[in-house]
Amino acid sequence: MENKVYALSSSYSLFKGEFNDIKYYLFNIEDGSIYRLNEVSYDMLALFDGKRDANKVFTLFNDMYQGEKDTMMIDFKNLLQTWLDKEILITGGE
Amino acid sequence: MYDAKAVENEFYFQWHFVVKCNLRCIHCYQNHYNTNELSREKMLFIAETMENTLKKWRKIGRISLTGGEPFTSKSNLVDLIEFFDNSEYFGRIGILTNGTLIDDSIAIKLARFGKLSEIQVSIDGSNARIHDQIRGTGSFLQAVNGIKLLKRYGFYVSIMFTLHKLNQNDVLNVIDLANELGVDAITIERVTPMSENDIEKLFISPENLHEIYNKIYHKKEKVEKNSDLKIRVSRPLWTLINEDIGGFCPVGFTSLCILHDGTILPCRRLEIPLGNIFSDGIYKIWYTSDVLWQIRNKKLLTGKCKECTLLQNCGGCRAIAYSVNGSYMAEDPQCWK
Repeated sequence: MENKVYALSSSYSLFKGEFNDIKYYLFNIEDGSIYRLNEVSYDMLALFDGKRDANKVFTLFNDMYQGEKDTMMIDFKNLLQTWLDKEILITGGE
Repeated sequence: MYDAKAVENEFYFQWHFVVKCNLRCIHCYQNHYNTNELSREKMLFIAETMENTLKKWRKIGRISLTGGEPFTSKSNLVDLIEFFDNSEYFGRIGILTNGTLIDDSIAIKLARFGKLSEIQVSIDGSNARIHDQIRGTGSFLQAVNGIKLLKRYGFYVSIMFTLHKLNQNDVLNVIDLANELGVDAITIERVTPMSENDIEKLFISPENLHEIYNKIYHKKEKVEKNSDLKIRVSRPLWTLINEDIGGFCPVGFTSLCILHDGTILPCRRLEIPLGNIFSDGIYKIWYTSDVLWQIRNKKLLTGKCKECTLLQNCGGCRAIAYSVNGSYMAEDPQCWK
């Protein structure tokens, strides 16, 4: 995996709230779209803070969920690519 | 026609499009009255931003146009109503007014708008002595004449009665007045004190409020049997009188307030600026405001509200909690439970 740093685009806002159950959302604050997330997607997106590189994010993510590493890597890369394609995550950071 | 399913899918905007007012009511939530009006382009921007939001959310809009006093800016008022009347995303339009500047000429202009479903006139006493000490000399007669004129033109007219210490003994008489005037509905809303002075002068104790609400409820049962007047009891605390009435406040869930300069508040009486429609838009505020997310989370309520068995149908007034207790998540200070 490339050693790049990614961050959530400024067009998006992540939200986690404890109501009767815990709710996870991704909001597009420019066009108003709302995406209901699951916990895994939320945790992964939240790790892209514009400081850690993708390798570090994967290590933390793998520690959180402790799945089979190769399978997790494939899923991680796929999700990362989807979010990059949709410009939810952008390259760069601090 | 009232459509319950459509109402469930409504989003409510209260837009104070003008700040100018011809009255100086003692309990007014405004602290200035002389700001320049927005240009037509900027007003249109606000209207279109609301429209785009409704389109995205697949909601039907209900809008109340108010001020200040909306009839101090008749030309803009008519233009805005025309915009919302023509918009497929807005279902119902209302005007909130003090009723003193309404004449035949404006009534004729307004009568052509099919979606103008309600004109609410503020009446704070059943006679000039009580009303005018709150709203200014001569305002009672003007407002009553305004109501009569609107009824002549066939509008659905409601009265807003802001309840506080100075008029608490007159509320049943105002219901009678509403009936005499052929008004369609009356809302009795507790005042939100905006200062320590307001609390001292206007705030009604929970015990007194309980007594007043009981009287109003008994009056409602009688009046609604014998006339078409509706006495609205859908606000917080009413469920303490009868568990089948009352309601959770829509603030944070299905409503927003926009001031004349584009500032967005959760509610006109909960004066916490969340942002500005020109710089932030609606989405950013609606999705990221900590204030709104806290209000949406009933688990975060404190005091009596937190464990209350009636919470689902009440929740107290967040604005009064904020103004009296200093926290918008605090218990409603007028709750007698």
